Amino acid sequence: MDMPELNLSMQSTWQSAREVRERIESHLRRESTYPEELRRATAMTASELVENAVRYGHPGSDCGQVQVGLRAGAERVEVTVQSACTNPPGVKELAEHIDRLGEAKDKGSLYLQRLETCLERPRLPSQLGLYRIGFEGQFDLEYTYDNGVVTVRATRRVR
Amino acid sequence: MNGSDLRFEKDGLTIVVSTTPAEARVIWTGVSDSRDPSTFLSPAVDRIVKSSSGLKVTIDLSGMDFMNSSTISSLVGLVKTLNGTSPEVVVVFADSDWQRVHMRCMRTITRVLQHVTVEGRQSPITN
Repeated sequence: MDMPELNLSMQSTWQSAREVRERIESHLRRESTYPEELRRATAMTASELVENAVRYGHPGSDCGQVQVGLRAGAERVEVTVQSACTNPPGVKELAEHIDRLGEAKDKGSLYLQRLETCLERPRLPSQLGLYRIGFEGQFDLEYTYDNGVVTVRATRRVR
Repeated sequence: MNGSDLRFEKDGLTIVVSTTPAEARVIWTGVSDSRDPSTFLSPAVDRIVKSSSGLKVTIDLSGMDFMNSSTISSLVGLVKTLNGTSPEVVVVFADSDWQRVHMRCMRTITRVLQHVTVEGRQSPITN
């Protein structure tokens, strides 16, 4: 049986990621029988996606709104993060990372490669978040970009 | 532990450094989710390196409740820096689901760092 959906509309600021994470964890603890690992993974996924939306959506500033949706069912959990984006190169980069994850047979190897890049060149932007979602969170990612709005959907089978 | 202590705090993250003549323990607790953790961590790391140069250093993350990916990236940089200044660096994670994943990854990527070992701890430390 599906649980009540959670829909959040937040300012697109860095601080929103923490609020989203806390509200999703709290919602799942209250409404679901999910194990702690899945609750944490879902909250981490939402948090990293909001951080991505803020970091790459509007270069140089925090602005606009970000919409976060959570559908938690018996078979599947889905997190959707939607935001306006004034940074087409940022969308292109996002698309490349998500496509790479989608094609990967071993998401763990991709994540480790990103970590090794951090080790070799610590000053480069890490862009670890999406790979962390794919490996640690075990979520699949897809995206759309229509009329200046980016939507990233993360899904994971519950059983 | 007797010895000199340093304490750094920001937005829910606390880092305490306890130093004795033999070793430095760098204990992280709380939540680290800032946009650019290096702006907070870099000055802390400079002081940690200064106070622990030539000593065994233990970085204990078992009391962490959450780290964003930017923090993980900064942490990797810290471990690499300490590998260059310390004869022995031990990174400690808790034996919980999410920390176990990070423990395995850290163990894998630090195989090339000759002074670094990565361990798991059964129960988290308290500050």
